[in-house]
Parts: sequence; C-alpha cells; structure tokens
Amino acid sequence: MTLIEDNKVISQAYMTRDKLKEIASAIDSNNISPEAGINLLKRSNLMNLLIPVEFGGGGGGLQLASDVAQILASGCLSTSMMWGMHCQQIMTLIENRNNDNNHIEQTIKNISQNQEYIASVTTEVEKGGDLFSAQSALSWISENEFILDREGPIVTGGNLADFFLITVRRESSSLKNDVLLVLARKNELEIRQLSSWNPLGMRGTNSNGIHLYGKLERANIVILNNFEKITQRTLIPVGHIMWASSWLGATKDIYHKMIRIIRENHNKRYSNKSDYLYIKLSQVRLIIDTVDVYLRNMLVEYEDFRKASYEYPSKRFNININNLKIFASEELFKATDLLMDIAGMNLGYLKNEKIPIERAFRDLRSAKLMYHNDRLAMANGKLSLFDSDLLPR
Amino acid sequence: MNNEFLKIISIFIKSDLTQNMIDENLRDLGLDSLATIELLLEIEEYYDISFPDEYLSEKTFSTANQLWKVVIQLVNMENSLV
Repeated sequence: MTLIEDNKVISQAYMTRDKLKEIASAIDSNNISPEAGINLLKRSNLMNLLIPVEFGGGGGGLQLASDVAQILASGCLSTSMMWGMHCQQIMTLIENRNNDNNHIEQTIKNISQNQEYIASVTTEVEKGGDLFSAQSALSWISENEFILDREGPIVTGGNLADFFLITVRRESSSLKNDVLLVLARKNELEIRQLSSWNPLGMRGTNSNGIHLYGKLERANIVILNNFEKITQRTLIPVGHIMWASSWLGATKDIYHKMIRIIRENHNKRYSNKSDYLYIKLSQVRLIIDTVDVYLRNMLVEYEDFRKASYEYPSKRFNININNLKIFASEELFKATDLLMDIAGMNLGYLKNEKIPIERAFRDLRSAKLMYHNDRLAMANGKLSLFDSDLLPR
Repeated sequence: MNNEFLKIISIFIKSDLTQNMIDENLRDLGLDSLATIELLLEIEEYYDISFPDEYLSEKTFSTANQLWKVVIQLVNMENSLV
C-alpha cells in the first residue's frame, strides 16, 4: 500500500471510530450483540484490510492494522478486539494455507469481496485457551469427509460470524497436540448456543459459548500438519500485537479525554497546579509510551522474522512477543486505575457522558486473563533457560 | 493587546513585557517549555477559554502578538457560543 492509501485507511478508521463511539455505551450497558459495530467495519471495507490485493483485499500490512486497531479501540474496545482477532484469522489463512487448496483460496476471495467476519474457536472446557492442543477430535466418515462436533465455551463474536476457524484434534486416537485448523462457513454448520455472555467487561464481544456440528470435507482443513509452527509463526505474534494495539488505543483515548477535562476551566477542582495530578499523569504517560515503543519494536521484529523466512521464530522472539502481551495487559490496566484515581468518583468510578473510564477499567481487567498471563509467564521462564545471554554481541 | 495580558506573560519571563516587545520571540525572553504550559493554564483560567489541541503548538507561543491573536480568537469563539 502507498502512503496515500494508508492515510485513506486511517481516515476511514477515524470515521468508523466516531460512529462506534455513539453505540459503544449502549452495547456495554445493555449487553447486546455488537452487530452494529461489526456492520460498521464491513461498510468501511476494513474486514479485508490484510488480504493481499491479488485476492481482492486491501493489501495492508500489520503496522497499519495495529494503528487501525488503536483508533477503533478509542471508540469501542470490544469491536476493536473482535476486528483484531479477525485480522489474526486472516493472516493465519493467508500465510499458512496449503497452496494446492483451491477451496481455501476461493474462500479468501469471497471473504474479501463480501467483507465477511471470521470468528475463531480455540477454547475448550478441559484445556482452556491453550493454543497448542485440542480435545475434540474429528470423526472421519471416509477419506474425504468428517464430522466436526465441537464445543467452544468462549467464542468471541460467535453469533455474528460468517466463518469459523476451529482448532480440533486430527482423530480420536491422535495425540492432543496433533491439531488441525478447520475453516467452515456458518451455513455448513448447525450452531447451538451453550451459554450467554454476561461478564464484568468486554461486554460488546458477545463471546457466548457455542456448539458446532457439521459434515465437512478435507478441503475445509486449512492446516493439515505442524500446527505448532503456525501458532508460533502467526497466531500468537499477530494475536498479541493486535490485542496490545487495542488495549493501547483504549487507554490513549481515556488519557486524552482526562487531560481535556482537566483543562476545562469549570473543572478547577482538579487543581491544575497539583503536584499529585502531574505525577499521576506522568505515570500514565510513562506506561502508554513504554507500551507504544515496545509494540512498535515488536512490529519491526516480526516483520524482520517474516522477511528472513525462518521456519520458527527464535526463542528470544517468543519471549519478547509474550512479554508484549504480559506487559501491555498489566500496565495498561494500571494506567486505567491511575486515571480513575485522577478522575475521582464522579468522572472515574461512575458511568458518565464525558469519559468512559469505568468501562475501560472493566474492559482492561480482562486483558491479563485472555490467554492467561500466568501461562505466558511459565513459558517465558522456561524459554529463558535457553536464552539468557542478553549482552550485545 | 491589553496590559493584563502582558502582565500575565511577564510572570513567566525574565523581564516585564512591554508593547514594543510583542513581536520578540518568547523563548528568547526566557519562556521555557514548562513555563509555556504554566502560561497556557494561567491564560485559560484568566480568559475562561480552553485551547484546542491543534492550537498547542510552538507557533502559538512564539511571540506575545501571536499568542494574543489566538487568545482573541478563542475568546470570540467562546462568546459566540454563549
């Protein structure tokens, strides 16, 4: 994409953001489906941003997508997270498809043309969000056909999905890490809602539990072998980058709004000259800037990895990308907490028209629970045993 | 430019600002970055205005004259809203 095209996408993202702002509060308060938000993204042609031009997509890169996620999150974090995860599924399809699978290539073109939304089904009751394993197994009817029978306890945006990208075990006798990735259109499946979504925050994602059942064909399988490689190459890095981008955008928005409020003259109770205020603001800014710089650095590192055509990223990259998620999720939540301290009871803790700190606080509380930071910390501790010489060479 | 405005700026620079200094660079007169922010807050409070983000630039605070033009514009905008 050229700079001019990038700028057009950014302008489009801001226009969409402004409309998202109008509906975010009602979606959150009433715990209703974020259909309006997803439809806005579709009308803005943002669903195919990362699909290459040869497949009819926007041909944008991950840096641009990260910027767009930040902008969208400044209007509605739930919608931005759904879009970020959709981008993750798109990148996974594009970068890891079997080149001889015409069905998947045609599907990508259709998704691009129709601005369709892909939800991912990776969680399971017994394993939680662990990406490297699957419990539910395919039941093969013949060489070419199988039955998919899969529960997903938390499926972000599942009720709005046009497609599902689903992790499953190859067959019942396979090891739990013998994972396949299946792409199915909504109308190829019988979908039953298992549970409703009534959480503290991220209410707009409508991440209901669902049960999927359908007779599918081998061509529905996007990735037949070596799922761990795809996880390390695409799913985890893109997921962490897009999540961190969304959290960062939401925090930047309330930081900006807070300062505008402080600077309004009729809000003198914030006492412009208070040392306490300036120190708290600087602490928030330090967090935002540090996450911003780390995110940008990881985008460059990830681009370097993709250009270098290594099969697997280095252990150092794995540690760094996990740290991006850990750091962004914990620190940006702290930033919303600091902003609530500054705003006080009326503009901070209570829902109000001026600044959605309480919503951001509730939303950001989920950040470290999504693909739980403890799991990532365990992985990083182990990986550190193989990568501890950090001095310059 | 009224004398109150000059007095406010004078709090934050080395010497008293006079009418014949209004086109001099405020940075050269001792207005550093932090003092610029203090000045901004003081002006906002005194004139009961808020500088929009797009006005928070080096250019706005380059000279007393430049700053006064912006203040007048914002005061007029504020009055037209009342």
